[in-house]
Amino acid sequence: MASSTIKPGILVTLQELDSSSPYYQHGASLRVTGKLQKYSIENAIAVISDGGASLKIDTKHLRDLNFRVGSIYQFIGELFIHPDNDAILQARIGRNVDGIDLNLYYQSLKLLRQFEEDQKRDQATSSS
Amino acid sequence: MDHISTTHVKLLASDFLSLTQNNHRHHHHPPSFTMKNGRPITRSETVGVVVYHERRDKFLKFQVDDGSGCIPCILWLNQSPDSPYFARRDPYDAILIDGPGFIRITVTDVVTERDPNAEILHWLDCLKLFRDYYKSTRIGR
Repeated sequence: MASSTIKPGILVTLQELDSSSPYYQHGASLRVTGKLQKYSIENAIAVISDGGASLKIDTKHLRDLNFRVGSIYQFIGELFIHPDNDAILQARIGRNVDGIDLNLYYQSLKLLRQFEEDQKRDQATSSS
Repeated sequence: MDHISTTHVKLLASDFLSLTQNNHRHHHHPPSFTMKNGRPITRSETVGVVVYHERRDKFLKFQVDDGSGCIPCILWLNQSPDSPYFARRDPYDAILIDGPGFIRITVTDVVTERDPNAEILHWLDCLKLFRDYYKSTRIGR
């Protein structure tokens, strides 16, 4: 992958990845976090969940990552939506984040989004 | 003098990527950049996930993704006295522009962060510092 083409993994929660969400787009670069529910060595597919939502992760491009059911993982990659509306994240980055404070993470994510909205509004105001 | 111009300003990637380079550069001064609100900076600090790296003999190129953008970075390996390519360089050369409108950070220090909460705390630091200090356009606050 050429370095200049890398898109940032937009921070999303698994609950936000339903079909009506603006993040739920084929090819979208996302960063997701959740607890590992199961992992198949045969096809390198992991399933993570959080807050009642779950997502399949294709981990075949990842190296040096040990999968342990019950641990929390974070993945960055591209979302692929199949015709039957089944979604899978093609991970290019994965890491174990056991110890992460998920409540703090989600609260901070809200503040971060509000900050980015405020920045955009201020910029639009100053340029008009 | 704006005192944040001499400190390591904590920024999100989206803030990094919106910096503009100041044209005036003196040999013995660091390259200077301007934030969207007009405040000058020369040094910065961020936390994120390395999503790309390419190692050559004399440098390591990598990109840091914090969710708001990807920051292209370069770490010169000839800065280490242990390196066979060691060469004394301008210690202020912390940030540089590589092509029109494209910022690449020349890294002076990089640390592997094991704490999964460090990035979250960095976001909160960025938000608080922006609100309390960086947002002000007054110099020498």
